[in-house]
Formats: sequence, C-alpha cells, structure tokens
Amino acid sequence: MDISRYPFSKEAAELVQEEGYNIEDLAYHPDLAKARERALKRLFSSIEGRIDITIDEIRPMNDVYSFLISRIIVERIGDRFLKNRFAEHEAKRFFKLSEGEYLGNLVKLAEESFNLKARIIGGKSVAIPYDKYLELARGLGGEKWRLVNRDLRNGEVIVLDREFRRLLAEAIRNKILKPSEVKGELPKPLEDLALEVRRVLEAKKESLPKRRVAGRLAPCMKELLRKISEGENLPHAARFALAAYLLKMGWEKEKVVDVFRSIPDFKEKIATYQVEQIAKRGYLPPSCSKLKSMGICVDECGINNPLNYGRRIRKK
Amino acid sequence: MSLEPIREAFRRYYRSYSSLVFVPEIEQREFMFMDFHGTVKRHTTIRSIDELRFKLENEAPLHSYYSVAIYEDPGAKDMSSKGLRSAELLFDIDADLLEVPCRREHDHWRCEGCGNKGTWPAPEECPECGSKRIKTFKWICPVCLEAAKKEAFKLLELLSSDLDIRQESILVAYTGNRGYHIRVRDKKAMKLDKMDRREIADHLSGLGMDPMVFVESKGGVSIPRANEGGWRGRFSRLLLSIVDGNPPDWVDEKTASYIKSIPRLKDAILEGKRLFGIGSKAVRMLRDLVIKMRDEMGIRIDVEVTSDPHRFTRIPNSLHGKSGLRAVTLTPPELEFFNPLAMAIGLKGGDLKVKIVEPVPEFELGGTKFGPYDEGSEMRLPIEAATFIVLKERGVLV
Repeated sequence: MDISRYPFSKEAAELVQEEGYNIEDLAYHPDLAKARERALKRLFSSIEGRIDITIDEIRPMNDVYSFLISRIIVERIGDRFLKNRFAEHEAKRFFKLSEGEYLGNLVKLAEESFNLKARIIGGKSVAIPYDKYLELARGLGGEKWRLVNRDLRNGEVIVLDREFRRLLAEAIRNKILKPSEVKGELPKPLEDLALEVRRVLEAKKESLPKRRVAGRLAPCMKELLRKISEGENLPHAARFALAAYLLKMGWEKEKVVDVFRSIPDFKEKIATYQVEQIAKRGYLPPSCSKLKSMGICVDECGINNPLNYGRRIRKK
Repeated sequence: MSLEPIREAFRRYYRSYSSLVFVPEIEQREFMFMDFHGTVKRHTTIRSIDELRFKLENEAPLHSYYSVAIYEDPGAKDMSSKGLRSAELLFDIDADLLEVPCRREHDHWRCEGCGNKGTWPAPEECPECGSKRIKTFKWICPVCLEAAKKEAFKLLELLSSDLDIRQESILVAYTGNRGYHIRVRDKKAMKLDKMDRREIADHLSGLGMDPMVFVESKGGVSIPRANEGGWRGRFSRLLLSIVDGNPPDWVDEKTASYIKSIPRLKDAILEGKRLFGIGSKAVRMLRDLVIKMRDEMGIRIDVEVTSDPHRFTRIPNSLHGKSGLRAVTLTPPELEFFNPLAMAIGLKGGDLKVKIVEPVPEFELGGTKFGPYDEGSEMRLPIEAATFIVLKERGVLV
C-alpha cells in the first residue's frame, strides 16, 4: 500500500517506529526538513479549507512525518477550530487519494488501523458490522445513510466501494478528533512552526464574520451555532435546520450565509443559493421529534418546534 | 377506604413468592419504587438479592423497577455522575400504540369538570363544558394483549433477520399490564450509545424510511433487489409478491394491478436492472407503496424508550400497580403460549368488597369470568378481580 496516501495507518506507524525518529528528530533532523515544510503546507491548507492532495513520490515517508508533525502541532495549539479543520482536511484527502484503491487493501486498512472488520461481498460491496456502521455514519448527512434505508442483513450493513471510503474518511476524522496525550512544550523548531500556524489561524478567524447574538435561541440551535463556530462539519440536514430556523427568527439572508462561513467545506455560491431557496419557500425548521431523531436535540424544552422556544414565535 | 387491603395482599404475595424475584448484576443497577401513596423513590441501590426480597416483603411497593443500565455508581443523584457502563437494549411494546378495535369497547373517558363521558378516543377538551381535565380509563382484554404479542413476534423476527441478534440474548417480559418489554443483552447491543439506539429504534419502526432512496430516479429508475436485507429487501419482496399475484391483503387492488403492469419489474427485482420509460405515475405508485409498507409493517415500539439507555424495566415477578398482575419474564419460545390473564395472576386467596364507580366490561381472570358490572353496584369479589378493578380505577374498596 502507498503509505503517503494513508499516513494515519497502522502500517505507517510501524514504519515510523522502525526508522526510530523521536520528537527531537522531528524538530531538528535535517532529513526531515522537507516533512516539516510539508506539515506547514498541510496545516495552511486545512485552515483555508483547501485540500492538499500532493504526495511526495520520491520519499513517501515525508508525507507520513508531515502528518505526524501536523498532528503534534494541532494538539499543541489545542484550538477546536483548527482541530476540526485538520480532521476535515485529512478525511477529504483520504477520500480523494483512495479513489481506485484495490478494495482488498481498504478492507485490510480498515481492520488494521480502525479495528473495523469488514468483508468484501460480490466483488464491489463491503459488509460492515452494524455497530461500527452506526458509529461512522452518524456524522454523514443524507437519508441514504440512515440505517432504515440501508441493505441490512444479519447484523451487517452492505455498502458500495465509494461509500466504504466515505465511512473510512469518517473513521480518520474521529481518530484525529479524539483527545491525544501530547502535552507540554515542543522542541524550539516545532514551537516556531506552531507559532506560524497560530498566526495564520488567527488571521483566518479574524476574517470570518462575527456571529450576531440575537435574542434567546433554542438550545439545539445554539449548540449548532457553537459547533459551526468551532469549525465542525455539520451534516446537510443540520445545516438546513439551522438556516430555516434563523430565517424564521428574522435573520437576514446574508447574516445566515455568514454563519456558515466557518464550515470547512463552505462554498459561497452554493450556500447563498441554498439559503435563498429556504427563504423563498419559507421552509420551517424540522419539528422537535425530527430533531431528536437527527440527534440534534440537546434538551427537554417541552415544545414541539424550536421556533416555539421562549415563546418567541415570529411569523413572516 | 384506603388501598391498605390491596397493599396487604401485595405484601402477602411477596412473602410467599419473593424467591421468584431476581435481578442480574444487582449491585450495579439503579432501582425505583413507587409506594401506595404515589411517592416515587429513585436512585436507590440494592446490594444483594436478599436485600431486594426483604424490601419487597416489607414495603410492598405499588410499582417496582430497575434500570436496564449498569452503572459505576447507580446511587448517584444525577445521571451524568452515575457512570453508564452498558445498558440492555430495551423495546417497549404497548397496546396503547396499536390500533386495536377493542379500545372503543373497553376504554372510555370522563370529564372531571362536569362528569360528561364518552367512549375512547378521548377529546382534547370536554365538548360539554370545555374543560381540559379529561381522565381516560383504560382496560386490557385478550384482543389487545394478543395484538401486543403479535407485535412482539414481529420485533423478534426483525431483530434476528436484520441485526442477527440471537434468541439466547433476548428476554421477553410481560409488563403486568398492557404490553411487553423486550430486552437485548448481547455485547454489541449493550454498548450502543443514545444516538445508535435511536437509529435502531427508527429502523425497526420504519421512521425515516425514504421513498426517494428506495425508488431512485436518476438515469432510469432503480429499486432494491430481492436479496437485499432490511426494509429494502422487504420492499423488493413485496413487489415480487405483487408481480407473482399474491400480495398481502393491505395492498389495494388498483395499486397491485398497476404495479403488476410495470414492464420488466421482475428483472429489476431479481437482477437489479434499471427500469426505463416506466413513467412518473409508476414511480409515484412505487414510492407510495414504500410509505404504505412502513405504516403496515413498521413495528410499533415506543422510540423514546429504546433511545434512552437510562430507562427502567419492571423487576421480574414484581406486581404491576395498575393491574395487580405479575411482571413475567419469558424466553421467546415461551411467549407463544403465554396468556397473561391466566398465567400472570399473582394475588390469590380471600376476597374484597368493591363498589363500582366506572362501568366494568366483562372480563376473565385465571379462568373465571367476571362482569359486566354497572356503575354504583357493590359486590364481593376474589382478591385478584377486586384488585384489578380498583387499580384500573373503576372501583373502590368498601
């Protein structure tokens, strides 16, 4: 397997162990200068929401070290927004770079790196235990990912090659988002890199529109706003719910679009179009029971639609 | 007169039969009891089965529950500090959620404002005086209990076919009143979190089933294949039954004949071929059928119960405070021959005098027929029948 594409894999980790570089080496060793440079590039791309899919074909290990150094820096900075963006970057990078990968390799990768025991069936599909499927698919929007709409047999969910890669991308995201044990100060060169990343990060955050705090928002919607401001990637249905809610609460369309700017895969044109469509058709946010089933509900408010929260019902 | 004689009967029951009471992993469960005055005590911990039996014998609670969850510290006062380790996956099947014809016959409501009354379903407000204080009086009969049992079997089948949950890891419990609790104790299920549980509950009840995903119209129409699992496979096989001319009776003739006329539908079902040029009406028909299937075949479980790992279930062989019947734990094969109104009788011996305050339909308990009784009549009844009437709030002790 091409480890530059899969720097998070167990195989890559084993190679790192074999080469025996420690944290001091990651910071000072001249052989890793390129890796440090690539790490910086990786993180800048993450912050900007671009995906860096270049790979080092001459020395694939550079991509593994670049990933490692990036992770160390992300942990050192300890910023939710950065961490979410980096996770998004790595998930998307994997999804792109794994295209065309031999399915057997992906199954092996899943088992070794994510303890996910999948089986190939009929050549083009993969069967995944339902508990693992639920764990990975929960971050994915769209009705087709819901268990009720899946081919589910004998405790396994059947997914296509492409869908399998999408789920593995989620596994990478989850892995990166897990708290790590890296603590304390890093060797000087890495601290310098972190400083540079922090500067770019602050500049990016500065450029994002400030969130308008208007009135008492329903707790679930407040939570969605919080997640967005921390750069978390929300599924489509959650974005829809929030946009419809804010519009009905009387927010202007531009302000609603602004809310979504910190989402990792934000695209101005698409977001504007969608917000406009929601406004034009006057869609209501989903009911509380729907929000519950989407896992968005965070409290028992005793109402049936977030619009009724705090008796601030505004009709347009 | 108070309910003291009934409480005394509960106590006598526990003194004779508390050896039948059993709770696994007892030290790690949270217990909840309601006494005969309606006081609820939560966050109770119990260290041994003897302590539990002693408690039941002495306190004779009206309702007795334990958590399906296993906690680090079950006595902690708020949920987050209990330390949830794992929880059985719980399904609640209640005749209330089923459309059973008998409810019209044995359930009624009364307005607490003006005394006006009528048959089920209850209105939101009284049509006479406009009061919202409407009290419903529920009853149980062999028809609704049989419907609940049928639903339980449907659930057991899907647990096996879709989730591969084996019979050995399933416990079925008659709650002692209007339905069944089904608990899954296999390793995978016990570890599921709230969101996963919700997804499974939605799946089994058919919530979120999307006709646009099932019948996809994108460069031809694609439908699920018959060999698929879950609802997709069930839908495909439903279509096959229509094509083959033996659809279930809830598919109306017009739909059946239209679907049957869709060209090459069988090839799509069996070989996964796309359908071309079948027209938008056919697509609509197919999609409507997805919804119809969901409504007919989706399992009526209380989704909230399944989603919440902190729920309670009744202590096996404890008595239900709304009927006086026993909560009985069964294995799936035992369920088939289980008749609650004959086999879940807990109270025996002696009789009590009852005054009827709401009409009581004819009923049978433990093989003996009782009723119907009119409002205002008074009679002496065996303890199990008297308790049943009183706890259903249709009579008072005199």
